[in-house]
Formats: sequence, structure tokens, C-alpha cells
Amino acid sequence: MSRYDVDWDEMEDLAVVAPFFDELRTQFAEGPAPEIGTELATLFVFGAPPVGVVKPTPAPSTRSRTTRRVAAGAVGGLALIAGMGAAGALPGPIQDPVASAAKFVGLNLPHAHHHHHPTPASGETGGDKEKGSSPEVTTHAHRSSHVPTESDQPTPLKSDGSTGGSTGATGATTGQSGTTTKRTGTGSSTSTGNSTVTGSGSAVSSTGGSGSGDHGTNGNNQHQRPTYHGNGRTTRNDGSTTSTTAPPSGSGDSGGGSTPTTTPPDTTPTTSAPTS
Amino acid sequence: MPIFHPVDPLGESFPHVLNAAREGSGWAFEQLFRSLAVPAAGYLRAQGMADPDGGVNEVFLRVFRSLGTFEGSEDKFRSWVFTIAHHLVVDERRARGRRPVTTELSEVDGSHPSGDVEEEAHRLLGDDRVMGLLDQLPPLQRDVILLRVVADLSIEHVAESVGRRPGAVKALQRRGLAALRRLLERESVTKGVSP
Repeated sequence: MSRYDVDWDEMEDLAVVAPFFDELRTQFAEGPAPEIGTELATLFVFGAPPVGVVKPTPAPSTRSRTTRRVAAGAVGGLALIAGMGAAGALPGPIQDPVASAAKFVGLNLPHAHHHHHPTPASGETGGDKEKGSSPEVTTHAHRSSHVPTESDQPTPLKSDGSTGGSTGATGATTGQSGTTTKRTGTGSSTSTGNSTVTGSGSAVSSTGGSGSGDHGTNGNNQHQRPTYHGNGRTTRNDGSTTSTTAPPSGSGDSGGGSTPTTTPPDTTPTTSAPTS
Repeated sequence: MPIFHPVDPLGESFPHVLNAAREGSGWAFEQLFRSLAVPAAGYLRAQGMADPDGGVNEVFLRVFRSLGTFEGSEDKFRSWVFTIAHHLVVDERRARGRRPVTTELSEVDGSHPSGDVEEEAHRLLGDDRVMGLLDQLPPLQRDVILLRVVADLSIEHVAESVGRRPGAVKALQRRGLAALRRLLERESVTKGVSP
């Protein structure tokens, strides 16, 4: 009875069923031997090629397969971002965080270069709008490739809003990588390197460059130095303007359609535009 | 066709026979076959397989083809063989459910239940008595009872064969015993004798 692994409360059932089990075993477990088919008979006579012991390898679970795929995708994505970051090919908003993050692991990736396309400001349409606007200036200066020059001195940009319409460029320097992005509500302009593009009444920001146009606002610093205007005027710290006779020779673009005719700043004591 | 008589369990010689079978020795295949062919064929017959002898041949062909994947003792080999046999039964059960069973009219004559209870009871008392009782069990209870009694497998090995936990197998066995007891008591009442 115990060979059936039954519980005590099943013993009564088993006592009734046991004769049936004996009959079942006699009829089926001890019956006649089965006939052997041709294939098995051949196997018994001639044998078969030896088979090695193959340990069954458990199939990878769905979970582990999914994990592997996700991991492979993550690694591939990281490699792609790292490659593009090393090449500096990532979009600006992504390049900077990636470069910053890479610094933590000892990688020196280039920061984003904000390329500014000087837009010729309209000298007559900008108007004197700066006072009422609060321009948002974002400056990224990539100093790694910068060759300091005299013209790199910060340019004070104090806008008094009193002048406009004429632009000037001062100071010709080389290889300036300072970039500035400026967004204003009305009449914006940007400057890259030494060139200064101004529009009448618009704000000008410049970093590292020499000279400025009208109504500049320095997004990088607030040096209290007079500003030389391309139209021959210089703005002092107190906002007053003095006239000069000739602008310095420079590479700056002219905006507003007027050609600078001022004298170089070094010949005019009242100007402070960096000389070069 | 040669007829082999069943042999006793291989016992201590089982590892040697198993290794010889893996090396392709015909005599080893024959030894393994003879040790389990009779209960395997009985299990297939008790499950109502149409061609139990052909089923046994198919079971052992599968066993010998997959011999390289097996490792273990003789008890485990027995359990493995009956697991394959049980899978064959399940396959035929499913196939039978999908297609209608065709039966020769000559076989139907004289065996069709007349509807008379006494005549039906007498039929159960005959050769088909055991099969008639087993047919009244649910398939899972029938599987467990047959694997326990005919195949002589332990609860754990039956659980492996039917793909269930040992606790579930014990529960199925308990319900199968109770069902068989009720059937036997009902049969004794019909016959007017004690079971």
C-alpha cells in the first residue's frame, strides 16, 4: 500500500481500489512484449554511429535576450554620441553637455561653436529700441584656440541709445574665436571675432573683439571704458559721446551702409577702441 | 518479427549498457529496449492508443536518437522513457480531438452498448472492464494513475512526466483514487457483489 505514497485518509480508498490496481498491473505492466519494428530491429543488429554526450544548454530566457538588446542599443547609442561629440558634430545644445560630461572622464571634447552669420543691420530701421528691451545674451567663448591680441581687450559697450544709423568697425585682429549670440526683441545683430555689425538702435555684443558699433552691450563683461563708435563718436562711461575724425582701420563690417571715416583711435585720445 | 521477453531492471550494469548504447552498440539498444518495452507498451495500451506496438517503437527510436542528451540513473532513464511515451499519448489525444475517428463497421457490431444497464455492467466485467473504468476518469487523473501503477514511477517522476508539481500530482492521485472507489462501489452495486 505504501508504495503509492498515499496519505492516511486515502488508505480507505486504496483498500477498495487495490484489487483493481493489481488487475491493472497484471493486464498492462506484465503483458506480452511488443513487436519490434524494422527500424529498431536494424538498430539492434547493426548498431548506430556513436553519439557524444550533449549537455543540453538552457535557452536564453526572453528577459535576458531583451536585456542584451537594450544594452547593445545603449552601448551603440553612447558610442555614436561619443563619436559625434569627438568630431564636434553634435548640435550645439547637446555638444556642450556632452563635452562637459566627457571632462569628468578625462576626455577633452570640443565645445559647441556658435557660428554667427553677420546680418547686415539696417541702419535706419533699427531705431533706438534698446532701452526698452532686455536683450538676452549668451556667450560662449572658446578660448582653447584663441590667440590673445591687444584687440582682445573687452570692449565696453554702454549704450546710451542716443546714436544710431552709422556703424563702424574698429581694430583689426586675427583669429578670434569669440562668439556671441544676441537675441533682442528688435533689431538684433551679432558679432564674431573682431568684426562688429551694428544696426541703428540695435544692441551689439562682442567678446574679445575690438571695437563696436552703436549701442553695444557687452555680454561678457562690463568694463568701464569708453566706446569708440564707427561713426567717429566715442561713448564715455557716463554715456556722453565725443566725436572723432577717423576710425581705426579694421576688418569690421559696416552696417547701415555708411563707411567709417574716423581716425584711428590711437590718434584720438578720446577714443578707447583697442588698437591693433 | 522477433519477440523479446522483458528483462529485469539492469541494475548496476545500467551505466555500462548506457555507455555502450551511446557508442552505438546494437546489443545495448536491445537491452535498454527489453528492460522497459513491456510496461511502455502496456501504458500506451491502457491509454487507448490505437497502435501501442508501433507507439513503443516510436518511443524507443526517439529515445535512442536523443541518447546523447541523457544523463542519470536507471530510475531517471525509466522516467525519461515514460515521459516520451506520455508525450506520444498527448499528441495522439490531440490529433484524435482534431479529426474524427474512423471505425470499421464489423468492429462496431456486437460491441455497441445496448443501453441496458445490466448488459453494460457485464461488458465492463469482461476484458474491457479495466479500460471501461479508466475511460471514466478525467485524462489527468488517468495519466497519473497509469504512470504510478503501470509505469511504477514515483510522485516526483510522474510530476516530471506530466509537467506538473509533485503536490499537484498527489492531489490528482487522491482524486483519482476517490473516483475509482466510487466507480468500483457503483459497479459492485450493479453486480450485487462487493468490489
